[in-house]
Parts: sequence; structure tokens; C-alpha cells
Amino acid sequence: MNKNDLHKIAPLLSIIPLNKTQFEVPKKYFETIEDAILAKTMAENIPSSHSKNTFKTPHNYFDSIESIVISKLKSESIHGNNNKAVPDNYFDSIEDNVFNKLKSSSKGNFIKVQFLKYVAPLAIAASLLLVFLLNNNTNSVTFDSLTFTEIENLINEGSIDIDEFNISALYSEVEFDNEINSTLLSDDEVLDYLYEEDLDEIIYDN
Amino acid sequence: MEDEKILVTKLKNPETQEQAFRELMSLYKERLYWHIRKIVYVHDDADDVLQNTFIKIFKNINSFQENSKLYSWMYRIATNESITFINKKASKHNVDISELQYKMVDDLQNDEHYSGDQIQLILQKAIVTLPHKQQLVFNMKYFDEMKYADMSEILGTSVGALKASYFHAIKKIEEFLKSY
Repeated sequence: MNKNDLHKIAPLLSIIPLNKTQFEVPKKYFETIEDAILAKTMAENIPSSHSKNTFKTPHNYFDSIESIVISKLKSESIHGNNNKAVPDNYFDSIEDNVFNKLKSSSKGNFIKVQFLKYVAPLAIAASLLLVFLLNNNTNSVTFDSLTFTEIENLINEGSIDIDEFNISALYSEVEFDNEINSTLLSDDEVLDYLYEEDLDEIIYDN
Repeated sequence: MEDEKILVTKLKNPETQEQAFRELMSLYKERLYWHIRKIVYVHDDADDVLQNTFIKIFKNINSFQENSKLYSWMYRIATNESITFINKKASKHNVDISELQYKMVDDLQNDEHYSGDQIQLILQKAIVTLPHKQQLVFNMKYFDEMKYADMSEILGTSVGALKASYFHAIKKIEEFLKSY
């Protein structure tokens, strides 16, 4: 836009003198500015293309690191070192969770006790039988070849002598039937036993 | 243009860099200074921005791809540094940029480094009423008498848009001067 065009569009503006020196600078400013800029450049140690420093830090890292560290220290002192959050409603549900766990573990124990009550005596009998047969018979006998009925028969015949008291000592949590521990003795047999034996010696020994 | 290419080559060569940088400053320091000064108004602020501008030019000379004029590239850096400076100053004082500019222009008459007369002061007040980009367009065209093609390269705006922007700026300033 030339001056004539400017005068047509904006006559007031066109008469204002174009005076760049309305803004002034200190004396000798432009004579000294180059040295000041070069000095600043060297002071900042600006790397050139031949810089050997291949390690870098994030932008403004050293300017901000102090503030970050102080903020973190303040945060820790206010909230403690335990910055781990707990899940929502954790403390509301912890009691139920504990009780559920207790129940599931007691169920396991109940099953274990039932298992021991019925299977343990038979397992012991079977192993004793196996030992007996191996000693008296050249034929190989396996545990699988014996049935429970055969084991029971051997016990009833007296071929296998099971000490119930030793079994109850090993498996204290197993409840044996009273019949296992009871002996079928008459009153007369008991009295005879007592007359024949030296009670004093029995008491002393026990 | 050939001289500019030679200068750029020297600037990128570490062995000749310092001397070439002195030459670059000698060639462009005043033009860049006055461009910056018209944005930031205060001499001390313009001095800071000018130094930062040259330091940025020095740091980034290797990334200058020579697909534009060296002066356009430098002018763009100076413009961005000036705007960044003004934004920071406004933020520091908890005001928006327009409010800051009004205050700076008001303070000009008490500035030891300002010797404009009353009408020139009124013109400065008129300029700050323009949208920020339009202020740049007006300053570059009216005071620096820059070509639209060069302005387009610096501001990243089409020549047509720049012409329209300058036209609207003149009309607004004229209205402001009439109302005073």
C-alpha cells in the first residue's frame, strides 16, 4: 500500500511521521551487544555439533528438581511413607473374609478326621498282613490281592493282633467305638485275676 | 542469497562458527531489536529477548534447513521469543496480555527511553486495541515496510490474508485516532 492509498483510507494515520526513534536505546548499546551475547553463549556452554556430551537430561530438569524433591519430602511427612492405597471397602469385608477362610479350613479337618477313623485301622492291618504273608509264603502277595473281607477274617481268627491302644495313641483325634476298647470279661474272671496276681507288685510297677 | 548460503555454511562449521556468528549479529541485531522492541516496549525487556533470540539462533543453526531465508527464520524466532516473554510477564502479574499491553503503553510517557510525541503515543495506544496477530502485521508493514511475501514466510499466513489483515488494522486505527 503506497502513501496515496494510505491517505485515502486513513488520512489521520497517513500524516503521522514515521519516526522509529520514538523508542530510544542507551548510548553504545548496539556496539556492545555482540560481546554481551557471545559471553552469554560461552557462559551457557552451548554444545556445538562436536559435543562429546552424549548424556542428556530432560528439559529444565535442573531447574525443577529441587521443587520436586521438596514437594515429595513434604508429602511424605504429611501422609507418611505408606502411600499404598487399600481397595475400596477393604476394612468392611475383612471380617467376613477371615471367617470364610476359617470355615473352609475346618471342613478340611473334618474330612481328614473321618478318613482316619475308618481307613487308618484297615490300612495298618493290611500292612501287617502283608508282612506276615511275606514271611510265611513264597508266593508274592500284594496289597491289591487282599480284599477287606480277607483282612477282617484274618483279624477275627487272631492271625493279626492289633493293639487298639497303640492305634489310639497314634491317632488321638480318631474316636474309636467303645466296643473296640472294651473286653468281654465276666465278674468271676475279674475276681480270679485279682486273687492270682500280686496287686502290690502291679501297683508298684505302674 | 549466495552470501547468505556462505554465511550459513560458516555458521554450521565449528571452526568458523564464532566469527560467522559475530558477522550475523552485526548484520541483523538492529532490525531484530526494533521488531522486538515494538512488541515488548521496554528497552531492558527488548535487550533480554534479543539476547535470547541470538542464543536460540546459535543453538539451532544446525537445524536450519535453508528452505527459507535466514532472516525470515531469525525474525520468526524473535517474534516467538517476544510473544513468549509477554505471556510470561502477563502471567507473572496475573493479568491477561491485553491488560499488560495497555499498562505498558500508559507507562511509555514516563519511560526514559521513549521520546515520541503525543500523536505517536496515541498511535501506540491504538495499536494495542488490535488483535495480537494484527498488531504484528501492522508493525511489520507500517513501521518495518516489510514485503508481504517475507511476512508470509515469517508468520505462516497467506499474502492475501495478510493484506486483508493490514487493511482492517488501518481502518481500526483510523477510527481510534478520530475518537481521540
